[in-house]
Amino acid sequence: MANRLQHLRGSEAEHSTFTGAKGEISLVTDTSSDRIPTGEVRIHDGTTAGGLPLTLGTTSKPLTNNIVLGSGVGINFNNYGSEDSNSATTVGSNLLDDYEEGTFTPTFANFNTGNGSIFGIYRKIGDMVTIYCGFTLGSTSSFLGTMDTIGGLPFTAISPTGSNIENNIFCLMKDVDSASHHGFARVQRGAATIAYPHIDSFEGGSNLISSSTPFTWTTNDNMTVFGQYLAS
Amino acid sequence: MPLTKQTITDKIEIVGQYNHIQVREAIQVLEDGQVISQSYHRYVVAPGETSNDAKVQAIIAAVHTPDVIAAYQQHLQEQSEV
Repeated sequence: MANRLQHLRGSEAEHSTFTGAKGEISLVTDTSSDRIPTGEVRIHDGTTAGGLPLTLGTTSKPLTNNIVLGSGVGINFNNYGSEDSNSATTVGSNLLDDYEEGTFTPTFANFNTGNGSIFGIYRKIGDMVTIYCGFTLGSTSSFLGTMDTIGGLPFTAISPTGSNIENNIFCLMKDVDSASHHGFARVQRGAATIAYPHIDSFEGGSNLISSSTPFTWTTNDNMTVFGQYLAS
Repeated sequence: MPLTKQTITDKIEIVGQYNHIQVREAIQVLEDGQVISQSYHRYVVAPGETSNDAKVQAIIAAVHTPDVIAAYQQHLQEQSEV
């Protein structure tokens, strides 16, 4: 029989009264639900009774530091397929390989911010980008024409070959003196730009946002834009 | 200890058929030279656009050729009003 190495081991109760030497390793052998998978490894420092546990994170013993992954790798979830070829280790559909959050600076065409304000934040999960941006008019803000684009998006959208499918974006224009108006737009394929924010139907350039559409804009009126698109 | 703030360009990617340049800036707060807080700000440079960042300018010169710019403008034109 091949040689076998077995470390010092004992129950939780036995560990509680045991102080191992510095560098000594032991194993807690009783398998309560918060230990994985058949016990818990303890590293001893010569002073701490019971030693220091090495755990992957459980409900009762969560990790206290971030999990840090290398570039290009992520978390591969089980896809519950029955065939070996569907193993989660070979199917990219179950791989969560990116997360990022930050800000961007949207550029609203034909709009002078003046002493108003603009904002833009994004969240990217995998290749799905969620954006939330907008502006609030100040007393010196002004429209210079129709707002036919909103640029400055944080990621370039996909441009699927042979497809006209585009990513819908929703807009909310708030007149502080009266009601809100809803609008729509789209992220252009293969670009980092939202095209044609408009209200109601859109054909031949009609219903684009402007100084008088959907209302006459005044100080503190605001527009927010929210939507998702797939990054290239 | 004094706190300082700096913005660095920490990632530049060239993506898509028209060589869009995706730039990520890291906005860092440092204490004694050590980063204690960081957030990201992003922008994309499309063909025909410019940037104030020298590194990005060099990449623009290399990948946004007149042919690429023309092809991208044509691509946008094809998506014009519905």
